[in-house]
Amino acid sequence: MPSAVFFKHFIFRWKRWRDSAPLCPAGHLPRMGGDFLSSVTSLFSEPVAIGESGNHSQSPPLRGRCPAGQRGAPRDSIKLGTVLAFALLLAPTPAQAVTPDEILPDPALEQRARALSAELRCMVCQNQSIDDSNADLAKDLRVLVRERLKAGDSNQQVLDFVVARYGEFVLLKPQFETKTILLWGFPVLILLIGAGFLVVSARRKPAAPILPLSDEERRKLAEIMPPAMEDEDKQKV
Amino acid sequence: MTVEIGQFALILALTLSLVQSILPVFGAWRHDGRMMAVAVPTAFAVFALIVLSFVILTHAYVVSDFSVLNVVENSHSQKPMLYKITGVWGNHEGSMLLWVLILTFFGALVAFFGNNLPPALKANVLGVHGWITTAFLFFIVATSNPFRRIVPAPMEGQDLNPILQDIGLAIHPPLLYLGYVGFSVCFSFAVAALIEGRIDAAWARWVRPWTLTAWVFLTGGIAMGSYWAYYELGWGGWWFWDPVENASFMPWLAGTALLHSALVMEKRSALKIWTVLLALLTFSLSLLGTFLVRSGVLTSVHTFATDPGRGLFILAILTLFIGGSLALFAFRAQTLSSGGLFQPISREGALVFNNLFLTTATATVLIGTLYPLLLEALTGDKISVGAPFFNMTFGPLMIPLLAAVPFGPLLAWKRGDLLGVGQRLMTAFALALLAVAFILYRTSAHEVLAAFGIGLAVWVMAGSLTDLALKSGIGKVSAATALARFIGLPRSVFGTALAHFGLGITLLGVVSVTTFGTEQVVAMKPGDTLPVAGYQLRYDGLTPATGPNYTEQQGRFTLLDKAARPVDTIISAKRFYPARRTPTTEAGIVTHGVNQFYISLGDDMAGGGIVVRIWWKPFVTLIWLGALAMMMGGFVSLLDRRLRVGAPAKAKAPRPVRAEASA
Repeated sequence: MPSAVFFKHFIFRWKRWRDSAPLCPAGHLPRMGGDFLSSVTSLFSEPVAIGESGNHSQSPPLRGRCPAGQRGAPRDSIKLGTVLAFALLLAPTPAQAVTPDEILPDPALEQRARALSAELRCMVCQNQSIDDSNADLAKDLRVLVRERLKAGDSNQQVLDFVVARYGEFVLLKPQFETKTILLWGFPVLILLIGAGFLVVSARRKPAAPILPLSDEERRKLAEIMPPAMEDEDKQKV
Repeated sequence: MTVEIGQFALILALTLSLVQSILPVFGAWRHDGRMMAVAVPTAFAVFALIVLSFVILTHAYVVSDFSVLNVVENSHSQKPMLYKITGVWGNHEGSMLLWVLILTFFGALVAFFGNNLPPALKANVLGVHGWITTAFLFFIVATSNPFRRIVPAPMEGQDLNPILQDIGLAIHPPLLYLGYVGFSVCFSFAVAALIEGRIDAAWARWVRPWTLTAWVFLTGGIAMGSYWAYYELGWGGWWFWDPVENASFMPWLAGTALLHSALVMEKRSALKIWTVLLALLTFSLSLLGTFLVRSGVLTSVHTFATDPGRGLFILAILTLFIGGSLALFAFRAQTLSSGGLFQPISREGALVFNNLFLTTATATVLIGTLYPLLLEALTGDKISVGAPFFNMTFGPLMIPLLAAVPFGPLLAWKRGDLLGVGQRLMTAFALALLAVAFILYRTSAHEVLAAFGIGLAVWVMAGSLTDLALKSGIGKVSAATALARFIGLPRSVFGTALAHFGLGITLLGVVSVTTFGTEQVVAMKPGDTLPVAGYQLRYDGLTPATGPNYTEQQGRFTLLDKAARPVDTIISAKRFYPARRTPTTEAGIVTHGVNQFYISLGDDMAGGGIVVRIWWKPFVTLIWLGALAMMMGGFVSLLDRRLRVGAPAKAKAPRPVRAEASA
């Protein structure tokens, strides 16, 4: 059963990814391929044993909500301590999606930063941009983006910088290249194929010319249909 | 004891649905009336048995029977009664049972209303429906038994995930499933038609109402889910292009296309082959959605189980049904005769245009959702496809479609007059231009895109009103006649206008909130005020409170108008559920007309304040009100005379005449 093999392979890859997603303490920006932590699995796997403890997380993280913590939720003191101890780049406040202290004084620059943040993925989350995420890593990235902008980088330079460090996975809008050609081309392809098919089929069997009613037909129609009914029929069309 | 009865009922239902799968189809093949007649009673019996087991599971939840594993994992004795009941489908096993409950419900409905169907078609349809039921019941019995006992029974349950303890969850899954699974009827009809190798008038008359029913529920389910995410997740977004959302959105897009192509088939008996294919694809996308959500391939709040065994099982079902039905289509599609001819510029042509763009949009969402998974499985490369991709591809695809919406209902069947329709739409066009000019003026020409978006929304809304006005002859005949004609219009005309109008409303909401919404992230101390959208917002401080199974910190805010008079109190809270040690945020939302203030609490600041996120969301409720209007449109259309029960007798007389005229 080839599909089963495919699926197993797929689950395997998926597990490997989720177990190896880089989860790093705040203030420490990992390079590609480094810093992998495997203890996040408990957040994803289904609980089997019952009654061991009341606090294992049964459901995986929320749509888009990050395993590193609940948005806007109070964090426990140990985490806060870690953040405080390691956050070299940050002001001493708990991490959260765009906190007041991150916001740049220049509104134009800040707006660019927000727009860029929306295009960058929080690496430890499910389908969440760093702009929405409250993971420590996302905060680091947000600060990094703002640092680069302050240093005078263009939007593209900032993206290139982040991609160079974290890999393409970080982009929520994939670049146009060989391996994504099908992704970007597919909608256009479907549209063209569909339109082409329609044009061809319309040419192949041209609609029969619509002839006006013959006098005989007119007479018959008048017999069948009183004038009032004809009017009623028109408005229903 | 009752729990075991529930399990036996499930197994009995599986056995009976096997009977339903085989005998009627075999009977239809051998022209054996008695075997075909088995279909109806078995469909009823399977439904009754599933109802029984669902009631028993619900009972176990209501009385907190902690000897049942499923109840232990998802309930708690202190949980409010409403959430005890909704918790039944707030987990993998229960939600699959709900899935099958609704599946068999639709099977029973077909059996009940199917008296005027040709016996062989009815037998085949119910037989194919039996195949789906069998597959999913087998899945439940083999891998996801909700009635598993646990020994020794623990004293207390582990509670339901707190974010699922919400009224939204009471409504969202049943609605969504009614939509998802409702398309199974269309699927069964399509496969039955392929087995028989012909499509007759009864087929065409049947498929559209079923599509419409499923579509109405799916629209409601998606809208409800979107609103739930909006207020429960506490970060003000209403659509995230999350794979799980896409999984429900794809059947909706395909179902919308099906709705329109079924219209052509019903009225003009054209596009038969395409409609059958679309019916197959729509339910295939529902199955794909079930697979993506239930298999654990995607992780989200909807994924209750990440067990590869289950994923493999659903993948097998998926392959069997999608592959099987498409193979059947490939073999048998030629036998279906194609019907009436039409010019490119005609009502049919407009509906084909609609189908082209909706299908492309579906394909876009599909590729965006699956591409990262496929690419990683095949090459190991990891990429992300998120909201920016979908906004960039899906958005432009919608523009021509939306621009064409007002033309469709005004074009004549067979051969339309585009110029004439254009002239009749001049008023709508003028209104749209006025809206564009107004927005450009108000924003000093800064928001060009938004101006055109709002113009498009006005165009769609005014266009649907124009349709009603023209069809009732307003302005051409006396007011009394126009009113009489207006009342006498077929319900389906109202349905179309209402649904299209709703689409415009939603678009207006989307564009407004995206462009003119504001967000402020500030640290506030009690007594601080902040200007928001012409009001002053005052933070009054935090007060602790206790709920039935949680404790919370309530942040109180007062909204003051320009004269510093209090207008509203907004309470936004941070909750903590001890049973699961889970914190959640409860957004504070106040609705003013169609606009909303949305406040979400963040963390405490070092200096004694608290981080507060305040959104001003102009016109935001229009997003869901528009969906409601679309649902109403579908519902009104269902009430159309030609679809009502008992109507066939009347409809029989004119048909030969019409067939002659259109031939």
